[in-house]
This record gives sequence, C-alpha cells and structure tokens, in this order.
Amino acid sequence: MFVKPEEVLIANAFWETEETSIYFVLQHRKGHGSVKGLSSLLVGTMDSIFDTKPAPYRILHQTPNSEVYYLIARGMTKYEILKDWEWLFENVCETLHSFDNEDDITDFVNCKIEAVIAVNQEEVEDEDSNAFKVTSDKFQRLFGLPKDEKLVNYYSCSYWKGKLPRQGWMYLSINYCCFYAFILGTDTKVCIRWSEVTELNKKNSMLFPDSIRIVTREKEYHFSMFLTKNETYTLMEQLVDLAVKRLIDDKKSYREDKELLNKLSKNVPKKASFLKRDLDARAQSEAYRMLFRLPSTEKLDGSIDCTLMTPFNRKHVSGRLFLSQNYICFESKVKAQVSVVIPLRDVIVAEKIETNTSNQSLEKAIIVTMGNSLNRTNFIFAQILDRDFVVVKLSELLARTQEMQVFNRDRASDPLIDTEPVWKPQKALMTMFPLSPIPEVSKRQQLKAKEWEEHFNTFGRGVSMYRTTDVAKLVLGGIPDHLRMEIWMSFSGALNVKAAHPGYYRSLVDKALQKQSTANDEIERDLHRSLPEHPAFQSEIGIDALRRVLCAYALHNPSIGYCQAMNIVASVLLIYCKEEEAFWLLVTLCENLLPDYYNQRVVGAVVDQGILDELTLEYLPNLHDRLLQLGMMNMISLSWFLTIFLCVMPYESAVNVMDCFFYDGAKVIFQVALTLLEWNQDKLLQCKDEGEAMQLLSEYLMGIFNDEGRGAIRNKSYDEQKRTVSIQVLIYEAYRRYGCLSTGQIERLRLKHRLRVVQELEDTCERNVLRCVIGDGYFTKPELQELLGLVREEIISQKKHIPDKHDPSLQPYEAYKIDFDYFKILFAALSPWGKGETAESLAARIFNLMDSNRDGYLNFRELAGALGLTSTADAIQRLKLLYTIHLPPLLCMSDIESPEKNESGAEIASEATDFFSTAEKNLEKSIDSLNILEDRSPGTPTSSNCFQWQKTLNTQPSVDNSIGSQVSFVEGSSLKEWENKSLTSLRNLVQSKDSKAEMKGVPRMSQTHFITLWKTVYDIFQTEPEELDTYHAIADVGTLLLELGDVGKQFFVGRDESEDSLATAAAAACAQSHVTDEAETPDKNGNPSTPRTEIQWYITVEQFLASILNAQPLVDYFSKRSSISDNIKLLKGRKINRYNSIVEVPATVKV
Amino acid sequence: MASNKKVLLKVIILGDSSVGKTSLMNQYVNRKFSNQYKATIGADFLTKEVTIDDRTVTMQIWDTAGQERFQSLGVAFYRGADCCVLVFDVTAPNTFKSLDSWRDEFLIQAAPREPDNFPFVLLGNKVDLEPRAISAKRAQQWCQSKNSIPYFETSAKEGLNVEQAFLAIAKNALAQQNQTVDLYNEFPDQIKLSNAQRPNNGADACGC
Ligand SMILES: Nc1nc2c(ncn2[C@@H]2O[C@H](COP(=O)(O)OP(=O)(O)O)[C@@H](O)[C@H]2O)c(=O)[nH]1
Ligand SMILES: [Mg+2]
Repeated sequence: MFVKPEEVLIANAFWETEETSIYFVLQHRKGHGSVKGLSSLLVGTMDSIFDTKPAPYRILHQTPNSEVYYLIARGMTKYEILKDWEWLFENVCETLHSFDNEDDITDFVNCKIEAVIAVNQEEVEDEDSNAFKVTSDKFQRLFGLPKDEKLVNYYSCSYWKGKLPRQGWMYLSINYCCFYAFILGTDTKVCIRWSEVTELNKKNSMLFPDSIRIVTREKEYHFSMFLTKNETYTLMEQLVDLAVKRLIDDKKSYREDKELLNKLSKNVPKKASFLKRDLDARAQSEAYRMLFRLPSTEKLDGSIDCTLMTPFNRKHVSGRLFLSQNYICFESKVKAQVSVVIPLRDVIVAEKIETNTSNQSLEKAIIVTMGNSLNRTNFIFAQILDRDFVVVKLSELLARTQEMQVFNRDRASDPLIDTEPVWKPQKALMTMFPLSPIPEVSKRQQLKAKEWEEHFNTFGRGVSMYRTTDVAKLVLGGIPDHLRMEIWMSFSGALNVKAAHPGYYRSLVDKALQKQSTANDEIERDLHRSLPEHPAFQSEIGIDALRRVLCAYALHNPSIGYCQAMNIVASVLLIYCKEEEAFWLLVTLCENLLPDYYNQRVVGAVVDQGILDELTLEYLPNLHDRLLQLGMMNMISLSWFLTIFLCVMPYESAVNVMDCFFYDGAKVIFQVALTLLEWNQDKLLQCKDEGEAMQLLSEYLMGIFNDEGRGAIRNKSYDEQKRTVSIQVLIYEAYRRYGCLSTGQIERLRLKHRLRVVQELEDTCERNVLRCVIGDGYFTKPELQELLGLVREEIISQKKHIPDKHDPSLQPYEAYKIDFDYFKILFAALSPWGKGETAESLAARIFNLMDSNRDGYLNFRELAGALGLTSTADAIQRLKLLYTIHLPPLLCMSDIESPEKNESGAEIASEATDFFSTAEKNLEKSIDSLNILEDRSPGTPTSSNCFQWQKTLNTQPSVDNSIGSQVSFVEGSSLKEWENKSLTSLRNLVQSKDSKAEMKGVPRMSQTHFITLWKTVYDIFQTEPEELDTYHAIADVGTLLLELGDVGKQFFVGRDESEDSLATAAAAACAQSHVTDEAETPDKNGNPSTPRTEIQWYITVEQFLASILNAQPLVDYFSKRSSISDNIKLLKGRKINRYNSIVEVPATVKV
Repeated sequence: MASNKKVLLKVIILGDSSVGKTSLMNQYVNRKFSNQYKATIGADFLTKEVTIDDRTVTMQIWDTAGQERFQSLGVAFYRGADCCVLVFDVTAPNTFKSLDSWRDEFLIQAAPREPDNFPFVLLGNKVDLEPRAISAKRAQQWCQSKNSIPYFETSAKEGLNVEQAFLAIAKNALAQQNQTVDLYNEFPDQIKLSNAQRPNNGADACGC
C-alpha cells in the first residue's frame, strides 16, 4: 500500500533490507518472518511493548547522492509489498532514467505516489454536495431546528390535509419527519418527531390512495404521490427504528460511522447525502451480518459477483462474494443452494490462480487456502471481474488478521495470569454426569453420528463448511449430543465472537465473582431452580459452572444483568457445551438471536409475543379470537419464548428446537409455536376459561418426547404422562407447515411491533409518573400531562443520556429530569413569578431549594413542586416559599452585595458581610448542634419540627446517609453539609401544608435579606396590571415589617437558647460564638471580619406571614390559581430555540 | 340454586422472587416440599378442591414470576381474581418492603370494583429460618394500615400454617365472589363506573 511520502532520516537499525535497486529499497522489520535471532526477538518485544505494531514491510525511495530516504509504501505482508515493488518497476523506473537531476527524480516519485494515493482514496472525504447543503439549511430554518439536526434526504410528495392533497417536500432527518408546502400564499408545515411515532405503514385506501401513514399519539398523517415510495418508506422505517431503539437503550443511539462509509463509498453509487449513504451502508452491513451470523462489529467492505466451485457436486455455482474485516462469505444466487462463511483467521493465503485456457470456468479465479484443523479444504472463487482489486483487498485483510492473532496470542498468554487459577472451566456436564445408557438410544446416536461424519467428509467441517440443504436436513433431525457444541458454535456465529475475544471469559469470571451486586444475588437464588432434574445440577460442579456463566454474563452486559429464564437456558447449554462455549452461546443468544429479550422490561419477548399474535391472526384466525378472549397469548408465549421451550417441554425434547434455533434463528420458535397451537386448536376452542386452556397446553407440551435423547431423565413422571408427539415430528411439521416464515419477515415484524411495544411502555411509564406526582396536589392530571410532555420533548431533544426509565431502584418520576437551563425557561413561561427582573435569580434559588439530591437536575416531581408552589399552592405555602428563598443558604451575601444594584450602598453590604462571616466561622459549631438535634429528635415526638426531621430521614435515606458519613471525616465540606441540612428542612417547611407549629424553627431574617425580599415582592407585582390598592398594601406591609424588625432587636440578647429547633440552634451557635470567638479571621471573600457589638435586626416567619395575611389585596394575589395549561400552549407555540441562545449559568445570581 | 353451581375461585399469589410462592402452592396442593422444580417463568397455576361451609369450591391458584422485570407482564390473568395473596420472606427485609408495590400494581391491573375492600391475605413465609428480619408485629402493623388484611406466618418447608392460611384465603375469596354477585344483581349497570377513586398509597406509607 502506497503512503504519502514521508522523510525517514536513516534506514534504521530495526530494519533489514531485502531488495535494492538504484532508487528504491525494500525492507522488512527485524523480528518479522522466520529469522529468530536474538536481535529479532528484541524488536518483536519492543513492538509489542510500545504497541505500535508498525507494518512489517516497507519501501523507501532514495537517490544515490542523497542522505534522505522517503518512505513511500508499507505492507502487512510480503506479498503485498512485492506487488508495490513490481508496480514501481513497471510504472516508474523506466521514466526515472530519463531525468538527469536527482531532485527531479525525487519530485517525480513523490508526485506519482501521491497521485496513486489520490486515486485510491477518491472522494472518500467528500462532503455533501452544495445543493444538498443549501436544502439542509433551508430545512433547519423552516422548522426552527438546531444546526446539528442534519437532513438525511428529501422527497417530493403530497400531504393530505383533510381531503386535499398538498404538493410539497418531505424532509427526513435523524430525529424528525417534516413536510413543507407553499401553495397560494399559505404554507403547510408538518413536523413529527420519530420518537413520537406509534405506527408507520403503507396504506392504499380510497381516501388515501397509495400512501404512507404515520401515526402519533395525537394525530394521523397521510402522505402520497412519492416518486420513489419504497425507498422513502425504507428510509423512514430505518429512522423510526433508530429512534425506537434509542428509547429502549440509549447506547444504541445513532452515531455517524465514518469508517463504514469509507468502506462502502467506493462501490455504492452516489446518493444525495452523507447521512443517507451512512444509513444505507449500515443497513447493508446489518443484512450481511444477519445472513451469515457474524458478530455485531463486522462491517461489510464490499461485494462482487463470482462463482464458487463446489467440490461435492463438481459444479460452479454463481453467486456473490462478500468481504469484511474478518470474513469472506459467499451466497448462491439460487436461494439456499449453497453458502459459505470463511473466517480469515483460518485462512493461510488467498491468491490468484493463473488462467488455464483449457478451463473457462476457472477464469479470473482466486484460491483461498485454509489452515484450520477441522477444515482443510480450499475454496475456489472464479469469474471475478475485478479480481486484482479483490486480491489486494484480501491480502490486506489477511495481513491484519494475522497480526491481530499474534497480538491476541501474546495477550492471552500473559504470564501474570498463570498464577494458580482458583477455578477451572468445566467440561460439558454430560461428560461428567453420563446418563445411564439405553442401548437402543445409543445405537441411534451412533447412526446419526455416522451420518454427520459422512457429511463432514463431503462438505467440510466447522464454520467454513459448505452450507446446503443437506446440513439443514441433518439439523432438523436432531444433532447427536457430542456434536451439539461444535454445530451450535459454528452456525450461531458464537465461535466467531469467541475467537475475537481470547481470555475474555476468564477475566470476566474473575471480576464477576468478586463483585457484590443485585444481579449476583438474584442468580444465587435461582441456581438450584434451573435444571434440578439433571444430576449435574444436584452437584456443586454444575451449580458452580452455572454461577460463573451467569455472573460473567451479568458483568459483560449490565443493561441485561440477570433475567430469570437465562438460568434455564444456560444450564442446558452447560450440559452439552464446555463452560466458555456455553458463555459465548449465551451471549449470541441474548444479543443477536433474541435481541432485547432479557432486558429490564423484557421488551424483546413482548415484541415477539405481538408477532405471534399477528401470525396467529393470519394463519389461525378462529383460534386467535378465542385466545384473545382468554387473554392467553401473554401467558403462554413468555415461557415459550424466554426459554425456547426449555421449561415447558422435557428439556431433552426442547433441545432439538434449540438445534434448529441456533441454525436458523428465532423464526423456528414461531414455527413451532404456531404448529402447537394449530394441533390443539379444536381443544382450545372448547376451553371454558384460561385455566383450562393453560392446563391443556402445558400437559400437551410436557408430553412431547424424544426417543433419541439419552433418556435417563425419563423418570417416572415422564413415562407415566401421556406421550403426545415426538419432537422430531413436531419440528418436521413445523418446517413443513410454517417453513415459509423467513428471518427477514420476522425482522420486519419485529420492527413494527417494537414501535408499538416501546410506545406502550413509554405510556405506562408516564402514567406511573403522573400517579406518583398527582398526589402532591399542585396540578390537575391534564396539566401534569402537558407539563410532562414538555419535559419529555426536552429530554429527547437534548440528546444527552436518558436515565433508565426502567431502573427498578428509581421512582418513575426520577427518569424525567431537567437541568437549570430548561427550568429557567419553564419558570419564566409558566410561573407567575417568572416575569419580573428578578425572575432568573428566583428561579435559581427555587431550583436549588427543590433539587433534593443536589445533582443539578430537578426530577419531574420536584419540577411540579417548584412550579406548583409559585402558582397553585395556597397563600401560606407560597409566602413560606417566598420567605425561604430569601434566607441563607439560598440567598447568600455575595449575591446581595452586587455593587451596581445596591442603592442603599456600602452600609448594608458591610453589615451583611459581618453577619455572614460570623455565621460561617461558626459553621462547625452549628453542625454539632444540628447533630445533637438529630439525635434527639426520634425521642421527642412532641415537637412537630422534630417529626419533620424524622420523616426526612426516612424518605431520603440516600441523601442523609451520605451526609452522615461525610460529617465524620471531612471537615472542609462542613459548609456543604450545613447547606444540605438546612435546605432539607426548609424544603420540608415549604412543602408541608399545615402551617403554624413547625414555623418556630424557621430562621429569622436579617434586614438585608428582608430588603431583598421586599424588592422581589415589588418586582413580582410589577408584572401585574397596576392596581393602586395593591401598591399601597405592599408599601404598608413593608413599613410595618421594618418596624417589627427594629422591635426584635431588643429581645435578641435575652433569647432562650433551648428553643427546640434546628435553625434556632444554628442561630444560637452563631450568637454564642460571637461572644466567645472574636479572632479576626477573614471570611471567604477575603474581607477581614469585624467583631460585632451591635444587636441584630430581624423578623420571623410568623411576623412575615401575619403581616401579609392582613392585607387583603396581597392575600388575593397570592391565592390566585394561575393556569399553566394556557401558558404551556403559548410556550409550545413560541418555538424556543435554546440551541442558538447563549445560556447563562446560575452560578452568579444578581438581585 | 346457587350452592349447587360449581364455584371456581381465582387466587393470585404475588411477591418477590424466591420468597416461596411456588413452594407454598405446592405444599398446599400436593402436600410436599421439593427441590425439584424450575423457577417460575411467565405464569403457572394449580387447582385444588376445598370445602367451605359445606360447599365444594375449586380453587385455581396462580403463581407468577417474581423478578422485578416481569412485574407488569403477568397482568393478563389478574383480571377476575377473587383474592390476592401477598407473600414475603420473614428473613429478607427487602421482600417486605416490596409489598406495597405488589399491592398497588395488582390493584391497578386487576382494577377490582372496590379496591378498598378487595380481599388480600399476607403470608410471612420461611418462619422456620433464623434469623428473622421482620417481626410479626411489624407485619401486622402493615396489615392494619391496609384495611386489616389477615396475616399468617407460614413455612412451606415444614408445612406450618399453610393449610390454615389457604383456608382463610378461600373464605375471603368466596366472600368476595358472593358480594360481587350480590352487588351485580342489585345494580346491573351503573356500578362499573366506580373504580375511578383509588386510595393514593405513596411508597412512604410503610410504618417502619
Ligand atoms: N427454609 C425454607 N425455605 C423455603 C420455604 N419456602 C421456600 N423455600 C425455599 O426458597 C427458595 C425459593 O422458593 P420458591 O417457592 O421457588 O420461591 P418463588 O420464587 O417465590 O416461587 C427455594 O429454594 C425453596 O426451597 C420455607 O418455608 N422455608
Ligand atoms: Mg416461583
């Protein structure tokens, strides 16, 4: 591979020269190849230490009189580098002799090489075409979407507005489906978020002919007159599926894949946009992986038509060759005729066969030589038009694979691991616990084994076997026990994943067994409830292996962790497979074959249940109605799907279904399920209730027998029971009757049902949220619904991590949370206090007050509280809130000090600073007193305030625990703790509805704070229509309170410290210390604090409330319930474009 | 005559995974405690004939998977239940804490006509084990707070109190069924509206 010429100073010591010419040197790296002298070993080690893994071959260019070498080509294999070497001689050397100047030679070489590279990489980096960019911008502008909302493609179509179609453009982007039309001076805009779509389908009705229908919770949309309806629809499906998958699991969200794009851009015809090509490439890769059961990381490089020589029938089958990083695959044009999966790790070399004119069919042929112990056949592909390119590509891939293998081998044999392993992976349990042989069965197994041997001889063995219908027939008949592991591993693709992760299982187990986790606890409980009928699981040997596999899996994939049913599947795998193989089969099963089955909400199983329902309706319509009435589908299908029949049939029978399942994928489950239902149709139709129907099916299923199983498990109950049908007949019939179901069809159905199921889950989630929050009483259900809608919208559009909605340890509303930026917007738009100049500062303080876990987010319940307390709560609650948010720690001195706004000048500021510096100095003391209070509170239930405390402790254990532990060892963080504690008690004060009693504990307010408070009151009222009454009232009450504060001064000194409240204690501690501790320590702002002699001005919350409640206009105002619904509508109408506005942080709050 | 008609009582057993639901059901129906069974996946049920006040009734006891992630899936057969049995493990405090959520979930999904009076029975299982984490008093307090639910301490392993508990369950279920029938006869149509108001039980109601 040629590279951009780069200067190399010396042809340094790590390299050995293989060939030279006047202008070029071909070298290989020491340590590469067969020579294993001391120095070469050294280089090898250095390379792995630095993990640089340089290409082992290179070509340098140099002119005889120059000191400088240019690196012009690198190669992973000798073969590859030699090709470049030859190319140089054929294309460059001739010309070089015609130059007289050496510099010209160098220039020419470099130029030539760069040109070659440019051709190879032709337009890899190309961006979207200009026209497309313009449209993309227009799209964002039209719909007010952020810059990063990139357009994928746009199509001309018409939108049915009522009964009239409007011709316009449909714009599809990653998150939206939009439509715009401008006809006769009016424009029509539609903007649907993919994640809101509940149904998407093609429709052809009288009303909406040949159209695409999109349904959301609110509305139905019809579009028609597409030029390329299918392309459009496919893209829509893809986009909606991406959105849905993101709802299931945030990690699956869309990311541009540049690498993938580069791979395919050479072969794929130019499409409108970068993203569209990306999505196409993605879809192709996905289809490729599905077809050949390849690991999910495999990305398709390209494909080309060719023929494959099939030695078993001496033919040349035409089909298509596929290349990806680790595999060569082939599929015949005629479906199911033959296919091949060749892992590159098993390939020794791939090279051209020199054309033999006598044999036309071997024209342009490549031979792939295998080095796998199981399969030594070679594969011959011919008629490859672009053979040279394919060969180059293949050698590149092979070189990389071989290097990876060396790398992995090094890693796997890390000497550190060799220290006395605490556990050894288990052999297949059936070899440890052989069941008593039944002669007849053994004979059958032997016969079968022979058939398989013969098959291997003709078709090859292992992953790269020629896959034809012959092997399918063998699999359907049941795989002999001793071959199960091998066949399962090869056909499911698990072998491929295992090969890519050497040593992974061991390290997982080592970590997993150390770990404490709920998954591990759940696993522990189920170990003995997995396959208790098998002797292996009546012994610690089987149990230990099962524990290791399940715990390792839980660690490997925490989003699934452990789900009941996995234990049953895993234990059956362990019977037939070695431990590590069982693990990888479980991985493949959970992640590829049954996607999302075992996750937090068992989404995948519910999706497939919906598919079974639909298929039943299609094939067995009468039965479907009956099953629907009985509500049966949910009951049966879960156990059938989640355990692949293992827990509803005798496992020795079900394991034959497993054979087909690993060979053919999930469609087998549907085929078998439909067959079972069909056979029991008549009896099911007679059933009176669901109990009877369940019983019927479960007896039938437990009677399914397998005369080829080892059968020692056939304990009494098994034989006594009515034998119903043999598993072989069941599987045969399942294929005969429902063989027409294809994997592709199932995938399409999954897509459709996933959409429905996920949206239903979302609805359930939101219902739960509403159920929890409505009890707080601030808003009505419709109001909360609308508010939640806003929050949902915000969360989705943030594209940040969405907290797991299904995490059982969280309350439902905790998944819906917003940051301050958005709270500010909501507060301004929805709260009556959100209009004035101080609104933002108020918002910040209310936010801090309500954010009970102090994570910088308000969850939905807290949000509803924050808004409710300012707009719907009763007057006393609102006033308490108003008072509270003007107390420290919510309103700090540094906030009030802001110089430009404080008209009363320095006096107040310094006074305030004084107050606060004393307070801060004595924080520790106040905390001590807080602790005392806390200790005391459970014992003194008479004080309602203590009760308040106690309740806090119970309801928010996490917060309080963390505080508790901090207190003991981190002195520096005491400010935080004090803040947390006082915030908690303030929050409780505000939220509690019964008033009087607990108010005693509320801290008094200093004059400075009060002045700020009063300014806020003016500010809030300013936004209201002017009313003289109100202004008078404000002025009167303000004056009154100021006077009251002065009176308070006189009593302050004699204040009784024993008053039983947290805040008094804190205040008292301050007061006390300011007598005892007069040292001049600078406060946190660096101002020296002056010892105080003057006595404090203060008012209490009772005084505050009482004064205001006396003024009717104020009471009226604070009792008015304002409707958020109207405001929400306004907010929605006014597209908030926060992406473009600079958002301020709440850190500096100005008053 | 009503008493001659075959009566079928539908009972649902709910509770966290591994509290002993399946074992209790087995002990009651088959009078044995065995280790030879798989964890319950989906739903399963057993039937048993019982005689209550000279009436023979068939009890259909539904067992469910207890793992959290299955909680909202087993709901199809909650409908039409005559009694709901809540089970916790007296040695595992978490299983006691989940009771509220099991009860709430049941009431939502089964949507009984009178949620306040729907019969529940609480079983504290595994009393043969030490050490106990939840005292009888605490369990009783919880029952009291939920409109006086009957409480039994059982051991599926020793067969302790199982018979008595299920008899009480059957009685409650029967009473519920009779009452429902009566109500239904008295007010043919209108009654269907009344499940709108349901008590609002926050998660913090547990009196511990
Ligand atoms: N000691 C004791 N163990 C019990 C009792 N009931 C059940 N178990 C054990 O608890 C585990 C879980 O029981 P199981 O019935 O499967 O629980 P389920 O998940 O609620 O159905 C099993 O290992 C039982 O043997 C009991 O009363 N005493
Ligand atoms: Mg169970």
